[in-house]
Amino acid sequence: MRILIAEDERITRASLARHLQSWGHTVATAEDGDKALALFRADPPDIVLTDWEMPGLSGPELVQRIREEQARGFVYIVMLTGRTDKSDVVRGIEAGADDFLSKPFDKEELRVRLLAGERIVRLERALGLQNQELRAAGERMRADLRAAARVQRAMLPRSVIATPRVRTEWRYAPTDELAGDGIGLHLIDDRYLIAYVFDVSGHGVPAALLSVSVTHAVSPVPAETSMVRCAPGGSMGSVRAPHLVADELNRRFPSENNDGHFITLGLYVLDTFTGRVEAVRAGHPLPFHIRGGIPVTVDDEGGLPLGVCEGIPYDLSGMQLQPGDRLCIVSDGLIEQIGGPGPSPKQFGVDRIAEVLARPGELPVVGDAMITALERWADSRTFNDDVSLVLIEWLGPP
Amino acid sequence: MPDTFNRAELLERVDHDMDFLAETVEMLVTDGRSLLADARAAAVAGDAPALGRAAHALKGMISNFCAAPAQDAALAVEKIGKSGDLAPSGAAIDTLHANLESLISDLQSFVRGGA
Repeated sequence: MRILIAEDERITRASLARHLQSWGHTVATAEDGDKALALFRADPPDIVLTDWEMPGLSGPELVQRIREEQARGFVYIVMLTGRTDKSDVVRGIEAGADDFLSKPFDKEELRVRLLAGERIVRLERALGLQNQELRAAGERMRADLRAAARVQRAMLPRSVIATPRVRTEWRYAPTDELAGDGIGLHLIDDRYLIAYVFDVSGHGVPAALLSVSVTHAVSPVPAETSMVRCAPGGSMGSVRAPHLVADELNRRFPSENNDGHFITLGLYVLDTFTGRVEAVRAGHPLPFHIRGGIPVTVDDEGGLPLGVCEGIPYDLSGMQLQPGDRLCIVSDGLIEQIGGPGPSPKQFGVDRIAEVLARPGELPVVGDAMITALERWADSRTFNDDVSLVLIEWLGPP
Repeated sequence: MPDTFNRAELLERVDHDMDFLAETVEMLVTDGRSLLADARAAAVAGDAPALGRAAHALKGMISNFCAAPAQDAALAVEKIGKSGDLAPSGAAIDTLHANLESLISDLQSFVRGGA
């Protein structure tokens, strides 16, 4: 151990130094508190042995100054004193001393107290190293999470779709760095709009990884291997019927293979030439259908979430849009956000969503209004759950 | 055999290193006498805190030599300094002086192998 002795009386100082050196320690000595502090700063020791009364900084003052500089690492401090009053001991402990040794010191007592100090120094150092390793591991994990989040963000729609027949908008607010929600908007053959929102149960890395897998599975490219594409000639051209996509996803992502995580999905295909919508809903909230600012009842029983029951077939549902109709697909994070005025927080709920959707304005205005309304409801810019929102407006046939 | 210090305890304390003991005795001669002079000057000046500090330092120094009589004499002067009543300080310092000189003399003899 490297030990600093702060002692103004040179016989005690020499005697201490001699004993410590004979026990294998490296010793530095200071004849007053100020010099001791300077030596401490220049080369922090493992242990400080300090007298109580010294010229310049007193022992308790020196201890306090050393403790104020804890960033230099842990130092075990023993105060040498002829004082035995309780108030003196309290003052020394309050200043930050770890132990006391009476003067004249007993050689054996000094040796064993230093052994105890040495054990504590080694434990503190080991703890410090472990903390460093934990911090480094935490930083690596955060960097990995940031990289994973970038990958997830890259899978979001690159832009909105705007053609003479259809306009789209989307909003996406993950509650953590990594989200379990996924959204997609794709225009196929310049006619068929594929829109979906899905939500992987749970949060964190497992849910996010499954979310990425599902996003890849429902990607329409490359067409040859895509789950949502088929040979041209179907009712929606080269877009596979949504309920068949759900059947395939249900087969491919059983919850028992994914740590119990299941997936809810709302998948909608709009023929932008006719306004016809084909859809499948697997445990996902009902969409909102707005006509002339008034919600239209959507009749769709839907099916179980994907992955919870092997082999069950999903039903195809459909609806007919009229020019100017809007369709809004949301995740449950929007509906179930807790907040509101009063002492009993409530869910944001479908009625408030419908009220915002009914407001006049272009789709971007409505999208922003929805997020603003939700933030006010939550009284926060972060939400309880991932929030996803896809807005579609069919403008009419060509 | 001198009764100013405990020879066995002192030898144990210095690990029977007579050279080191001789060095510390020389320190006592210079520093001890200097501190005693400080104490006397403080008493003459009526500076009780300074008297207490000098006697406290001298007591700590003497304690290295397992010398109970001189240590007790230093403690008596320290107490006078801390009490603020310097009336008995002259006699107490004289006693301390006598004890210190006896100790120095006996220690010097001891390290020379004379006792």
